[in-house]
Amino acid sequence: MTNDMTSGGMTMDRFQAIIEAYGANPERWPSAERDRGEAFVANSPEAAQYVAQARLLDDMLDAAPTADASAALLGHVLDTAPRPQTRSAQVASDQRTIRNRIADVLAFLWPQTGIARPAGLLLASLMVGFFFGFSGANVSTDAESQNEDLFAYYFGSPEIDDWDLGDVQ
Amino acid sequence: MRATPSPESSGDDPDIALLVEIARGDSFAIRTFVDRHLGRTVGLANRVLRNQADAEEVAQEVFLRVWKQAPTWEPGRAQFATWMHRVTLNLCYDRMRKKREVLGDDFPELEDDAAGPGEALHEKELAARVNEAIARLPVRQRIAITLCHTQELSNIEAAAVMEISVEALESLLARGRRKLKDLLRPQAGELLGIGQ
Repeated sequence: MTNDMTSGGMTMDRFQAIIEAYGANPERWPSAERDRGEAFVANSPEAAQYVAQARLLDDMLDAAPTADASAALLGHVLDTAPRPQTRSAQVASDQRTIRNRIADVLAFLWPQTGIARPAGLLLASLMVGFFFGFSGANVSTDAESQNEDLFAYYFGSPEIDDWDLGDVQ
Repeated sequence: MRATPSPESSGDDPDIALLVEIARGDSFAIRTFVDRHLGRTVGLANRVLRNQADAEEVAQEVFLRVWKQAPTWEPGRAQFATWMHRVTLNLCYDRMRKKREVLGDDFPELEDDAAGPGEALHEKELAARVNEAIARLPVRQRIAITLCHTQELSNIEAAAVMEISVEALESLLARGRRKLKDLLRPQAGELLGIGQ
């Protein structure tokens, strides 16, 4: 590629190359050269002529938008989209997660006994059931914040998600 | 020196927040995302494949991948829309390979069915003529023009989608526009009459 740029300016060769590639609309010109290009065309009748010629093709391209999606495709795409989680499914999922985390913590605290994890799971189930039973009637309906509240209650911070408990099971 | 496009920043990626909600199955986010991208995906695929049914099948596959990707997308790699464009093009290329379509600069001759000099063109007819002319461009030229002109991607974004340098993109655009000028010369006068 020839170096047709001058320091801080724009040559006719480069301006022509820009117009031939990107057309008449400065919004489509390379952002780094847009200001210089606009200044150039403002001071050059010859450059303005190139722009006018390019605008004709731009207008023709604008007159031919790309094909749109059919209603059938729209319906199919929406049908295959992820389904919203129901509140009960989300709560059940939250309960499973919390129960496993509590069991992991108990197994971490008492790793020497083989029954730590099963016992922990049982205890965790009771704790989760107790908490959800009491809180379900009057806490926020937002299951996610409920989940975070539960973490905060037991562990002080929801950042327990970042703990690595993989080695202690 | 303008060479290979730099990696796109996803810091201001407008799709990231939607993806989080999509992963949760939020219907408003899904609808917003589909409204934003489905038409563009079909439009690009149609320009590449020159067949609406094939383009819609590609778009369907692209969105299946989007739904799968949404929960695990990691911001910082690329703009999500750039990834979608790449997936669209790759699926189109796969179809073209299967149909043994040549990806070179060869393209079919224009049929001599252009309107005569005195024949008025309505806007729909003009659009059809222009789309027909675009369809006769070599595939990479019509992709470049569709990305930069129709979909209004920046030169850096379009080059990244096509995995080529900005210089190569400029060359494709210039050659494509020159060819279009030749193909559309008969319609140029009619266009000037529209809207007057």
